Amino acid sequence: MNRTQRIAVLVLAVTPLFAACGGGGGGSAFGATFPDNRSEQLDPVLARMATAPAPRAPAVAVSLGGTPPELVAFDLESAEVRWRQPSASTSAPQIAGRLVFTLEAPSIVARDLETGAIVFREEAGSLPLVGAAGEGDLAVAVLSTGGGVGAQSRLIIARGGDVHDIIDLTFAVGLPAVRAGMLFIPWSNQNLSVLDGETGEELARVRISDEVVGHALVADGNVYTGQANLIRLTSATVRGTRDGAAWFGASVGELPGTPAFMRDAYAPPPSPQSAIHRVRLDFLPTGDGETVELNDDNLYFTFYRLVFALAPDTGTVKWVYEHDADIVGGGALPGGLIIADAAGTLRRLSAADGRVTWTASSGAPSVVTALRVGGFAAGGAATGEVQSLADQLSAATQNPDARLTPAQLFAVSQLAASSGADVTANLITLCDRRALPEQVRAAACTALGDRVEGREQLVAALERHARFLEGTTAPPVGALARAAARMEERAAVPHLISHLRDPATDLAAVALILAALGELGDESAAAPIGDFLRLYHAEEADDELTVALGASIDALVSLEGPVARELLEEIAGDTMGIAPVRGKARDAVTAMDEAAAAAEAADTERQTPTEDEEAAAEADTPEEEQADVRPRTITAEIVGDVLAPVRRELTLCLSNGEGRPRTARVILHLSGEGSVETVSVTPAPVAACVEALIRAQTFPANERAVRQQVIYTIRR
Amino acid sequence: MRGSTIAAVGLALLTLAAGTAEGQGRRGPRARPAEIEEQLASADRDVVQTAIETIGLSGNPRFVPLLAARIMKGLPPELLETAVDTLTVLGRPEAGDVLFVLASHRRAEIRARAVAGIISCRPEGASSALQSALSDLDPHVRSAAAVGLGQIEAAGATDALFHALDRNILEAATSLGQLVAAGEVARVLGYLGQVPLDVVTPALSEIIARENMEQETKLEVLGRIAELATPDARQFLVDMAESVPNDRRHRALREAATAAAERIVQ
Repeated sequence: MNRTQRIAVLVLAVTPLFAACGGGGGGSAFGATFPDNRSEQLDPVLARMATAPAPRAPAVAVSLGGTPPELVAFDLESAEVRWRQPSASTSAPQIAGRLVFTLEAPSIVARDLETGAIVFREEAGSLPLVGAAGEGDLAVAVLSTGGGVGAQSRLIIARGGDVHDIIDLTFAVGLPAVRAGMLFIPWSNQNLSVLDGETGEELARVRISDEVVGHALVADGNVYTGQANLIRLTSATVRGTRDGAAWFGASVGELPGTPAFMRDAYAPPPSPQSAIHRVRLDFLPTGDGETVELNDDNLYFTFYRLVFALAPDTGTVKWVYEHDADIVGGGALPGGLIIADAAGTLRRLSAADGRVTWTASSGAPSVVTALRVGGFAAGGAATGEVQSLADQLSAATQNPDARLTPAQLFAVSQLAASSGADVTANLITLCDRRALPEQVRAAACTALGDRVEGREQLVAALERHARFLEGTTAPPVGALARAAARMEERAAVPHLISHLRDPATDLAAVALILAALGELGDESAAAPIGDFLRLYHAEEADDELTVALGASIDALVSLEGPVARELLEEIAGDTMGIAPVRGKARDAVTAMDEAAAAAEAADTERQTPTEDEEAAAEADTPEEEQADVRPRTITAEIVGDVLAPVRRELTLCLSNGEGRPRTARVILHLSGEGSVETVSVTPAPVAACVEALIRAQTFPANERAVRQQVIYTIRR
Repeated sequence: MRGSTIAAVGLALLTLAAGTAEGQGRRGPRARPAEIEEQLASADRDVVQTAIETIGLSGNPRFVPLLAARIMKGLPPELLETAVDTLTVLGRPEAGDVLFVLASHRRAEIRARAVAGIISCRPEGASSALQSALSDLDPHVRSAAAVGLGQIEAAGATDALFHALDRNILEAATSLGQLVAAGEVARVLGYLGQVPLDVVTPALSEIIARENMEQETKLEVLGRIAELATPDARQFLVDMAESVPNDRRHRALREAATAAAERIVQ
């Protein structure tokens, strides 16, 4: 078919305003007075689409790459290369019906998609190729500067192998679509004009006031428009707002590389080498009536070598696929996603689990590949085991490609948001891998510290120590300690103590261990913590050591309360000790004193009745109750009084015991009535002797009749 | 660095003093435990230093628990080093508990000194502690532990020492030579040809020098070395022949070493 006409329509940039306000029908395409959002114009367009046969076009991939650069068309159905043609394209190839367009300055070049033969060249001036679309013989390519004021655009409409029409415009034009012999042209951010492909007559115009109209695309015979969101053309579209139309908006939060749902159609199009082709979102719209959704409920997020299937409404990852080369093109289709990589390999991924169901290769290196996959049906059963999502996310973080770090951080954040012990196990592994990028490892460690599941995995990880002969390294003790505290996992305490004593544990982790031991509240940790504080408090001052020693003071106060006072006073008074540590110990003692004074004052206040209360109490209280002298709380002082008659014997327990300890720490559980329930004594060698003496004494009941724990220290 | 120097000088003086006192058949300076305990508790580091030195010079084992307790209460680096060295010089097994704790001290310098102390004091559990120290992340500590296992005659440690040798702790070879039973010599010989000869020769030298090793085993060792037929092997055999005592009891061994060396063409 030959070129039939060339029309140049100059329209003021303010056209949309006039168009919106203008009346009357007909007129030239993009005319200033053409009315928008008219049912009587849009409904025939919709009817024409509904009665037109469903678009059928063979699935094809057109790649650009190699040295020297060439275009390679690959037939997905036959898995064969259709043709190769040298091309110095400065744009990504655009598949449009039976043509493929490229920008080979100063011309736009149209090739026959079947043979690769150039069917026409048309002057492009300095305009970039924004996009092209086609159906059957009808195709349209859009060249546009984008932007607003001063924008220039050109539509090249082709029928068969010839230019049918060229329209020059003075506003920006977005990515077009072709359906049922009509052209759908987005322009000036808010408009979508529907042109008859044969006559060029504008059939209808839609103006959406609350959504950028930058793209038009065809899926399942329907036409969609939008940019940040997706609006299907229906009779409701004439309402002129997104909310009044059939629309879909993805809500996936911020993704690494911030890929746009659909790229900004009014910004300069990306070069073939642009990362936009490698960091992208792919989807296939579907739905009926006034609903729009994404096929398989998947939004595919590609980041160089990783593909994440996201739930479009939450951004939650459903599966992750890791590829061995950069992915430079993608196309969603029912049941999956076709990806094309930089080495010419194409794969079909199952929408359900990301497993590969079909593979082919053109063997052609590619920097960008355009795909038309609608109707592609090939593909076998997925092979291989489906890994758990936690394993998939974990595996995705371990690729050494530094470019993947943002996506790996994303994977870690997804792991962190997942529940299950296996997730914790994966985070332990990641936090433990020193080969990972530091950011990724740190994120995994942070996430690990916040876990509340995976106790067994946590304790198992803590069992490992750095041992030269065994060739083992220390686990990520700091993060594990935080997790143990978060989980309130007391089974971790012996392991944490063991790591506290291990010189291979770095001091930053030691501080976290001490904090965790303090939080866990297991008093068996007090003695080792005290040992640590004593042994190192006079070492050479070092910031990390000072922090760790400070943490040991906090932990001791938390675990022992006033019982820690003696040790803290000892540390505070050691002039050879590290000054800030001594200061911290002194502060802790002062805080204890203040707390005790405040408690005493409060107690006194509580126990001192007013004159009226006293009188009332005397009048109401039976005689026997007035004689009640039960203490409200059994204090260490009371325990000391009770034990006074056997003090000498207790001292002998220590003097004669193995190791002759100077002190013994007793944890006593008394019932509300004062009976001894449990007695725990450290050190162990004197326990039996001390316990026997304690159990032989009679302790008072407490006023509240509640079970109480009392910590008491016996000194020689 | 300064602390290390002070400690080293202190150790030398202590060793000298202890040796002199012992050689002259008299005890070191007299000091009462209460006095020493008071000095050790002093806030003045010079007084504490003096107390530690006094303990070393006295050679009195009664002071060991006092010093151990003072160490556990925390000392500045240079005093801690002197204190550990003093325990080493005293060589009393009562120091075991504190030395075991210090074998896991955060400073490798202290761990190495603690290992030396364990070797010197030979407390119960020394073998286990030294085997554990073979896995220390500091190479000096590992080396000291490997040597020490031979010195304390830790016969049960050969598996750990073989493992250590496999992990390139070369000092393990000497201890292995000192400790292996006759039945384990073949395992030592298995290293010949697998690792450079000088890795194994410390073990072989020890085996050959041991009075408690059968002559037949020693001759087998010489034969296996000769089979290597390398200049290094020849040199080792020549050195061995020269180092074996020139007496009737060792004549066969000396002649075998000489003959084996001569079989290797220069």
